[in-house]
Amino acid sequence: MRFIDRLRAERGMTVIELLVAAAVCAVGIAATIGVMDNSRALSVRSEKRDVLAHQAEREVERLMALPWTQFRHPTTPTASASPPGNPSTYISGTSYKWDRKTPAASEVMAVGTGGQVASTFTTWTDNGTRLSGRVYRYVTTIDPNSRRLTVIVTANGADAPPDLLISTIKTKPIL
Amino acid sequence: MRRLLTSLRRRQEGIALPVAIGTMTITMGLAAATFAVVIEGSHSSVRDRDSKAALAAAEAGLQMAILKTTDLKPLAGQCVTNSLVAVGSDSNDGSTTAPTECPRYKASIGNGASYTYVVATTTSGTCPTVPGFVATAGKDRCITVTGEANGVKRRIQVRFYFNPPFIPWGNAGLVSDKDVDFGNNAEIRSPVGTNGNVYASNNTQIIGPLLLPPNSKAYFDNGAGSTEGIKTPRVGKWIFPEIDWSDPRANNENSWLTANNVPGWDAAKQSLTLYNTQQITLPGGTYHLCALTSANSNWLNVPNGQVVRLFIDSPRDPASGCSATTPNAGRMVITNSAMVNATDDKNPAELEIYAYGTTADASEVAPDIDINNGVEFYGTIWAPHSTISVKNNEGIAGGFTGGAIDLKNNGGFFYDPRVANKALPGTASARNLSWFECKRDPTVATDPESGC
Repeated sequence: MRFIDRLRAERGMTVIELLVAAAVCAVGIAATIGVMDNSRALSVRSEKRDVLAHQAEREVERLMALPWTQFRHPTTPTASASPPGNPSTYISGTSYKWDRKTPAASEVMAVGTGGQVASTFTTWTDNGTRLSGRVYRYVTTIDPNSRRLTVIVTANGADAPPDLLISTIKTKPIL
Repeated sequence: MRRLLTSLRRRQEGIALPVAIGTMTITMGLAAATFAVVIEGSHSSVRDRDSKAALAAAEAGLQMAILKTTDLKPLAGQCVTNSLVAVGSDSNDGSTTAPTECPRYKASIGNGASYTYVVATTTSGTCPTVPGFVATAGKDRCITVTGEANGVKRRIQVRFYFNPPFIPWGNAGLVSDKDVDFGNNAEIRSPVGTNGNVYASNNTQIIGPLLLPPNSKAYFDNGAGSTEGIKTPRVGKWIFPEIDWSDPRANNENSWLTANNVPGWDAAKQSLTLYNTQQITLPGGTYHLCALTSANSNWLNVPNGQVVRLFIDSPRDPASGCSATTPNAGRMVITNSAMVNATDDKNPAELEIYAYGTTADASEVAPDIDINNGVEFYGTIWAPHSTISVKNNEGIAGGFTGGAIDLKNNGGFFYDPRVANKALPGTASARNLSWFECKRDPTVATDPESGC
């Protein structure tokens, strides 16, 4: 029987076809799973970044609403080595390095009685407590009538995005 | 039956592999689409993060623009950057300024974020108010700020009303509502202004003009004189606006005195009494007191570059919390070689004294402001309801405003030009009349206010 005739007859071809199809499916499924897993990781990371951004924005708005005399720390924040690289490591004595990209950009932290800006980090969790992290805040003195606020929000977990940092300035108009 | 199955098998003709490949293609297509959506979501969250940072930067720029405007007190035709500049001046960000526009001012707030603001003159740029606010033509300013973080821009615009504060010592160092009395070799190196009369006797020398309204007179006897006499044309009647006492009552640094156990500080009575070579350096800020007594060679210092504001309230003020039984209640008594702000730069602009007054018309028996016997004092005093008595002293410089002024006995007074721009607190007013978010860039390149 000629080869073409044997193919047309298809006797014994189903098993081979199934094996090849299964192999193709296996490769495809593996690739799809890889893509889906990356998508999931990316989604989680984006979600955390979104949550971090909202936490930071909320904290900035809350602190900016404080009266001038309360817009400072009650005590001088201190540096902590744990975990490594946490935002408090940018503290040096009574100064805070407000611009991580500029080596010399440090200012003295604003500290005084009645200050309502927490001197230590606080923790945050989302409503479902799936996501959590820390909020660090630093108020530094630009001059007697203006202070800089730096809010840094971190996330816990393996998929945590980089620390989210938002800076702004509050001033006391001269009236 | 057997023939049917054979027929079906023959009709499949290799369909399993194409079906498998087709299915996988669709599945992977869906996965790729999902991944693309996730990637876009990720980019979106990054943009959202930068957008929030950019808005915070824009708000920072707005705060700085308002601070600079209130600090520099521009004339109607002046622009504000970090100083007062003319329309059409160069921007510091390298951009071109149109001849009829104010320049941009750019600054970094760190970590890749920056702001750029334009404070228009009262005519070079306009922006609307929001309903409920009334625009004041010729006074409002349009402030447009762009915040930028990692390439993401947010632009906001505010119409800002600013009524400049009262400047008490812009023209004269000694100003009084009632009579000014100089005597006994006093040397006055200052323009003098009063709604009452000027009495100068016993070799008193006034080096500077007398700024008197039409009905006021100047009397000289026993060798007293004035280098410039009464300035003509006569000035208008001097005014003495009331200041706001509620803010210093509520927002002050009194707690610093308590926290540092400053000797002589009585927190309950809000009384500070310094004696016997005691030295104290007050950090810049506002302090609300009912009495201030300083004597016997003690030092009250003010750090260079900081401003200390002492508000001396009085039992006459029902909201003061001051007791009439507190020694020297409502008064500032500085005597016997006390040194006040007499270190380093001796800048009188760094010490401000405000007195409510124990009487409404400077008719108190003992002067509310009593500076006596070898005192050195560098500061400003605003006490329009009180008598300021300055006698037997060494060095007195700054700017004084009193209900009446009595300055005698070999001492002198020196008008320090550094107080010329001092503003009376609470006499300026400012408010935002709008807040709009604009397109990320001006729609007309040469018009920084466009696109809002």
